[in-house]
Amino acid sequence: MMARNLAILGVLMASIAAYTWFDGRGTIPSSAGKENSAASQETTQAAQAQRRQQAPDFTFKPLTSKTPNGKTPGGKTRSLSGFKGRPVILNFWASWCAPCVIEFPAMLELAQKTDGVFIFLSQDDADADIERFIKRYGKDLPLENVYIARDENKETAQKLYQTFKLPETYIIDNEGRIAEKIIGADIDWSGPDMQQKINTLSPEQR
Amino acid sequence: MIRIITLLCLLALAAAPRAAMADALDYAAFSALPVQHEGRIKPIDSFARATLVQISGRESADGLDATAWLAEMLFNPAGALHRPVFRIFRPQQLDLPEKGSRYYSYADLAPVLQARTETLETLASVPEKDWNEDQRELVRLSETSLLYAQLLRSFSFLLPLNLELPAPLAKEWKMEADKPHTLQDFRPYRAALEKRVQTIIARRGKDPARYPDADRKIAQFAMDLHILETAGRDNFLLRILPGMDGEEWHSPWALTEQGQGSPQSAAYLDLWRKMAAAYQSQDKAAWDAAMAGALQESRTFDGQNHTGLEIAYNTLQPLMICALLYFAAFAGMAVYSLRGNRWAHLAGFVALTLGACVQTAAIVSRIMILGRAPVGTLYESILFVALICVIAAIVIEYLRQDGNGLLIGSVAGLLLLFTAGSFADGDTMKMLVAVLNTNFWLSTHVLCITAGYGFCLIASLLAHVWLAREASGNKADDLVAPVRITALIALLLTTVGTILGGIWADQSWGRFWGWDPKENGALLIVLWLAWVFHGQIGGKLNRAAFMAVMAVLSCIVAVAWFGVNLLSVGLHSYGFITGIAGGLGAFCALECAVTGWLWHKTHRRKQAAAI
Repeated sequence: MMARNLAILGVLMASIAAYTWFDGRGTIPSSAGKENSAASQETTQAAQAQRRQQAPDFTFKPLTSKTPNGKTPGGKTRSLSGFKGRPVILNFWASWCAPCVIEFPAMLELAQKTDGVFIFLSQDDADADIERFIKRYGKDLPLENVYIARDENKETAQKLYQTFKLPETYIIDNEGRIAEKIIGADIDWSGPDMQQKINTLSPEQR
Repeated sequence: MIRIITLLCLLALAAAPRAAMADALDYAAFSALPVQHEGRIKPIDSFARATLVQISGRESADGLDATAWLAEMLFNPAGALHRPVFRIFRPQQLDLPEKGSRYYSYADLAPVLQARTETLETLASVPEKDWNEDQRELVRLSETSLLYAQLLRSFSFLLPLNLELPAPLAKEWKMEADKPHTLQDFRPYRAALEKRVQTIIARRGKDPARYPDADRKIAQFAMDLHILETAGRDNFLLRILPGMDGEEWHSPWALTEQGQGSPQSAAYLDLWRKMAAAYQSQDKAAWDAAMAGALQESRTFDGQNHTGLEIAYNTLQPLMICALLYFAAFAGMAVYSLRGNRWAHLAGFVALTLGACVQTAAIVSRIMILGRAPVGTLYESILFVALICVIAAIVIEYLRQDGNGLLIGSVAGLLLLFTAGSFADGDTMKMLVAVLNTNFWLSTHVLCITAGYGFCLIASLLAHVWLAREASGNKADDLVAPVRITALIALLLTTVGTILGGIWADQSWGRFWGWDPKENGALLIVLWLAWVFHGQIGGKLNRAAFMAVMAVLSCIVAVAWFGVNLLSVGLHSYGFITGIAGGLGAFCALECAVTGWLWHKTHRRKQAAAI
């Protein structure tokens, strides 16, 4: 009886010791493990893409004011869904918002390096404020993939995207889904990381 | 605080009388909506119950259940101001009128607290241990009133305002002046309104009394909006949906104030706005439609665990059912002992077994909801020990059929469930502190130790029965073996548990043993049992003495389980408690006195028998 009890106790203690030892060591890496890890990373990315929220569609009328280059961009009414197939960078800004002003040139620089569509939706109350701003900061405009428009009554920002603080930027993938939301201007827009991020959302680069 | 009352009167005051009769709506779907509270995603039902318990000490208030109360708080805050929900033990100390009830409304309490602002500020700089009972009560009321005020303002920007929109603004903003609008509706025009007020000030000066009527109305309107906006800031309590990262959830105000909004949150908040409108108009069809939409949308949020099960757990109160069944088992045992009725014995056995089944189901539900072992808090450990005791008692009763198992099972079950009840503070399903959040160790070390506590209590109770029978002149030799077996199982479990605890401590804190009070407590039980068995085997303790020291094992367990937490030292800071020292001391004194008396009587009888 005593021997049996001792044996049970011994097995119990040995099992616990073995589990503790193996638990602390983790798994042994192998080449097969690496392949699995790459495959699982792809699966995770695909799953993440699948879970993205659909960006609500909206229409906007790009401003047609003259740029410092003396050119006038086209002003026909556009919709977000019209850009399906290309990544869209949707930036909510205002001419009175200092961080927005700071990030604007860097975003234009990025626009010239990628084929993403850049929509700058202004929260200003009057077109004149935006025109003044473009005159001052839009020396690279017009660009084929950049649109600047006023968000009438802040309908798109506040009602559809619930944006109340500026600046806020949504990066929308080529399927029209929100890949990322960036709050504030503390980001290196013209750096290689952001360029790569936009390019990975482009169908040609995938 | 008075300002809060004033601004809440701006909200939906006109709808208050209708909304006060808010009983026509079905709150089932509302109670299932998820919120993040205390680090866990839970249904609104759990949030409402825990919050109301914190404020009023009960899960219902003034005729409303917790969910209906919360709905009124959110959607009709002007009505909720006058709902008597604050439990006040000493109203006379606060100069509140006696009204035959302990419950007062926020409208009653706020002016009283306002008048004591200086006292509260002074108390903030005094250590908590130096507060007297009145001061403690004052601080508690201040904290619960802040909580209440936060909840009242949770949706203030989505509720219709009792504000008159000045005609010039209505025309300019293309809005209908006679229709109630929300703060949200006015937000797009905030900058324009500010500019307009600045123009008025520049033109007319800073004294609104000198403004023409139209300008004064605009200035007053701007001021009211500003008050509402300011009061809404820092409102983080009711976190109803996840941010863009999907992990941290946010309150409606935080979504708009901290840039955490998204198209999903816009759509979801719109459903909540519809719910508020339906509540205020008591429109059942609109309420049901908005609720169905919100419930469907909320199903896409991550992190929800068995919401339906949690609501069922809250509603059924399984531990109350257990207590009733254990009481029935005790009654069956009593009838069997007094009358020898076998049917009563059978009924008692069935009741005890059913109680154990219900308690097992309750604990399994908690495991499923929390996704972890069921012994993360003191409250949970008491539930688990109670179950171990009852199951052990059922086995003893099944083997012996003499009523002793029924006696110790029902007594242990009832006492432990009542003890657990005194530790149930708000939501009993709490998230764990980081150091405990290791499922492997929770499932081994803590389960092992707490199961050991359970067997210790069973051994102690059986020893009490032995002493009582011997003291009253009845032979109880048949109980010696059960006492020894349960005590040996307890010794095995507590020893293994203590060693496992050392290994866990080594992994978490880098040392196996640190003479921490909690570690010493666990060791104390092991040493006590080892001493008792050595004393008995070595012939140093006779049978009566063996049973007496086994009986006071309950005191050793109580000290190791609860007592060391009173010291507030050591790394087991998650277990610190206050306010039980008196109760623990009384329990130990009573146990020692009863055991000593029984042992003395037994000893005298044995001596008399020997002569």
